[in-house]
Amino acid sequence: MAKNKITVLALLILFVLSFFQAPATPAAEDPAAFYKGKTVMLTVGSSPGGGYDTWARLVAPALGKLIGATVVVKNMPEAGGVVALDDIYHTRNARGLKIHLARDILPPLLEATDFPGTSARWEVQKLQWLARLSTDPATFAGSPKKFKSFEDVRKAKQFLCGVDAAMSVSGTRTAIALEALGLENGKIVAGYPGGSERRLAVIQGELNGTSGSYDSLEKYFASGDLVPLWVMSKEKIKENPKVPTVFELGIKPEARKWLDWQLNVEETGRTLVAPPDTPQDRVKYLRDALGKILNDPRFLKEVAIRKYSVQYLPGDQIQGVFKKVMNLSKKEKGDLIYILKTKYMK
Amino acid sequence: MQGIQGVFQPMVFLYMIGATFIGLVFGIIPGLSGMTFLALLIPFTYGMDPLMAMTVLLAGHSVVHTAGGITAILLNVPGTAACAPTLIDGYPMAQQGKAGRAIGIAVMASAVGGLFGAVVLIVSMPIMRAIVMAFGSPELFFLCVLGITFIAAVAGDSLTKGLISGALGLILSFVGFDAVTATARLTFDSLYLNSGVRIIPLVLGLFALPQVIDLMASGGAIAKDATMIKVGSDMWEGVKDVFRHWGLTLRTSAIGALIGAIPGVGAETAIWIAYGHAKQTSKHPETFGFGAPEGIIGPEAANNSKEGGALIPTLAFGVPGSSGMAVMLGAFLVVGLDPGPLFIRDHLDICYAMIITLAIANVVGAAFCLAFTKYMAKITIIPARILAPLILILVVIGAYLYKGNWLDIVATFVIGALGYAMVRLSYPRPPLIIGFVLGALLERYLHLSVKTVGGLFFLRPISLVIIFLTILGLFYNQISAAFRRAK
Amino acid sequence: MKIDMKKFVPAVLMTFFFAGVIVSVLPYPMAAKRLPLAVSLLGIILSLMVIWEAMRPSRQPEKGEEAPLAEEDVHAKVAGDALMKALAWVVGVLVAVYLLGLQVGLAFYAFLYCKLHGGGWLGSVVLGLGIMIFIYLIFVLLLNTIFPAGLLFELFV
Repeated sequence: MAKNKITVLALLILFVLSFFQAPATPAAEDPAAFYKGKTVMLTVGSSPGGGYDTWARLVAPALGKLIGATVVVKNMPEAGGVVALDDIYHTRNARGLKIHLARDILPPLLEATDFPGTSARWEVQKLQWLARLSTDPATFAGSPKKFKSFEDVRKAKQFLCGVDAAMSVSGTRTAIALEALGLENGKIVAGYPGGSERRLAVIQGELNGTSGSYDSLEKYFASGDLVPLWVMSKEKIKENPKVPTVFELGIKPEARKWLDWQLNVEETGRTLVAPPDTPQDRVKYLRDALGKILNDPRFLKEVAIRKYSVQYLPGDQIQGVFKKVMNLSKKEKGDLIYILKTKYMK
Repeated sequence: MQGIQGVFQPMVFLYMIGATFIGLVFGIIPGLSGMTFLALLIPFTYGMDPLMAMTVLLAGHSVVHTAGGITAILLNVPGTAACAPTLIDGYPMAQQGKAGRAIGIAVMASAVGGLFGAVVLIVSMPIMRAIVMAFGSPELFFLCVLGITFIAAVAGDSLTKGLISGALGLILSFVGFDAVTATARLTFDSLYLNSGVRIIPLVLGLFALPQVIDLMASGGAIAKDATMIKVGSDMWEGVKDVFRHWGLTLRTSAIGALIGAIPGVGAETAIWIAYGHAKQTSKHPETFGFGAPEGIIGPEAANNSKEGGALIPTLAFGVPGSSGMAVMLGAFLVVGLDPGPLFIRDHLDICYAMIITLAIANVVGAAFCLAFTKYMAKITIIPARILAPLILILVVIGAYLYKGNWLDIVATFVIGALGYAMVRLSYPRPPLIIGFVLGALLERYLHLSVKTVGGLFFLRPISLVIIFLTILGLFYNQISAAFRRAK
Repeated sequence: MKIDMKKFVPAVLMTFFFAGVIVSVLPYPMAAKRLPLAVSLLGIILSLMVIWEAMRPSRQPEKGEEAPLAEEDVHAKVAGDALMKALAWVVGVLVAVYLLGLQVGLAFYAFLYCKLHGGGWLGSVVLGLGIMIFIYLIFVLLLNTIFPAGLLFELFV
């Protein structure tokens, strides 16, 4: 009998305590008032440290301060960011309290291919794109002992590139680069833990080439351990205009569409995105807030200290970029998967 | 030495001591580890002066294993994953009422190991590059193989069961998204399993939950026959043990530091190799698993010295020497530093600051622990009805804090069922951990070796040395017996 | 023939487990299934060895891993009843956290456990509240962790 009394009392206590956990919010509310005092979760598909995480940690406090909320960064590095992206896509009822920093190539990749472990019918357009923070064109680098320039790459017996995984960011970009440049001698080895390990492997001579953001590779160029071979973008790199763009090196006509697909997508860069069901007024509010931050000179100064730079693009324009890109036919999707998973794999 | 002076500025020093203490707390609570420490504290370093930030982060991170060994001894639950080998001999000692001595051993060995790691760092600075350059995928593969053979050393009395346990661990390591072929293996279409089995839920489920069940069911305390007064008073005996076996202490410190310097796999394998080496070189290997002091010295010295070793590739190339270092690299970026080949040249002061921090934190951390050993040892006399639910609560918190994923708590309990079954059926659990930690690494480096170097990838000088050491280790007992007969 | 059930049953289960793994990985590409197949095969062989051992009369009693005497004693003493209760309590924390969220669930669990194992009213409530405050101060306030809210709260609040 005593146990029954205890149970009833306990449930009463719980009932009272329940009011401390989740305060009720009225449904329609001015977004500015809504965000005050709330906690916003910003998920990022990489582990602490590294480009994406640092960007998240730069934006989070600035955003929090502007909208009066606490923005908490949550790392979800699994599967190179795929899990985090899939998570935001399937998030329901976050009401604008959860956003994600997406890795350029992944959203369209998930739509174009049946990425294992993610659900089918992935649609990039459904996501609410908030703002682009920066782009970071990928640069391909090789060992100075074997290559002085791209011509050496073409002439080499084998150009062995390291990537993290097939259909990862590095894997996709490498496969498409090899295809676009018509590098028959190109081969991909997947399975490296990350960019720094790939760079080490090139320096050791185990690999011939690797790719990465110019920022992360720059110090290796400075030390002479690696040489830049080409950059995957339409414009040259300001800091190093001698590095050819991929377009200057002779593109295979049939492969041009993949390159366009890739580069249009890379144009979306590091972008903040919200779940598909986020209320529109909050999407607009966040877009405006981010627009203010990314053009604020104080924020730009902080970014510059880390030798980063902002390339702001408002969310609705990003939505437009994806409209351009996502029109692959079934056959094209099949071809793409072949190129990414099989064609160049050693 | 601007860096070293920087560390001794009052504010920096104070923060470092504070961070050391917090690191100890993270180490002692199962489920919280050095990586969680870094992940939770990095946001606070945002905007901090780089020297202060690195000092704070490194100080806390380097002492987690000092405290983690204590939990392994007192509760049969590793405070950090790297302290798993410590429970093999540490917990039996606690059960015999010798918890104080065991803690004394663990803490002192940790301190010596940590200092050794700092010394190795200083000494190796001119040759850091060469060390890291020498280890490619083939070497990493053979190192994994070497580590796996130590399953035999921790299998206890039934080698067959130990190997089955190891095999089970290997299979668990294969669960998840395979980077090489972009296939989801054994995930049964679950997005959670796509990222594989996680180490913290695994360790918590395997060790903590069965322990909790046992405590709740038996109602007694951990130390079976000890009296209140005696427990904890033999701490200095343990400290002396470390110096009695000074050869082993130095050797296992060296193993930790040198193998820990090998990027990627070093940190994982070093502790098991250290334990195995301690057993092989002991005059009484049959006492291992029942409270042999050397069984604590080996892994505890190694798990602290490996942190120093892991800094070598991190500073020399920006390649993380361990998973903790991978997070540390992130911290570098947050404060505006950028480790790469020129880092040592451009930021020598920060490097020196880090080395000195490593040394000081290890000494201070050990001092803290020794000061409280007597009280901590008394945990072994606390009745189960108080201890068990507290441990359980910490397990749940630790499992959740790991990645903020509720499913990790569920996973912990599922694995807990496995862990309990293994205890009841006398299947040793440490081999499972080894198999789990090394399995996927083994597969990855085999693949990379074959694809980049080719089928004859074993024909490299360092690889051959490692192969030789492996064979030596496997047949050590037979070889040394043969030597003794020859005499 | 006396079969050591304690060895026999788990070994049989392990055999089926490894066989199951083999069946599961067969459809994967070669590079993905190579090592799992090899390890599973090894696992089956080892399990069969244990089955064989279990079916022969053994001369010496098998020892377990850690201090065997101490563990054996505990298990002998642990009667079915006490074990069932312990298992129920362990699973219970999971239920508590699922229904009530981490903060309230753990606090409530501590309170309940203490009360039902001989603690007084005041002590149990203090313990429960203490745990709640501890979690709140350190993890929510200081470290900005977000804890799951629990099923019941999501349904009714």
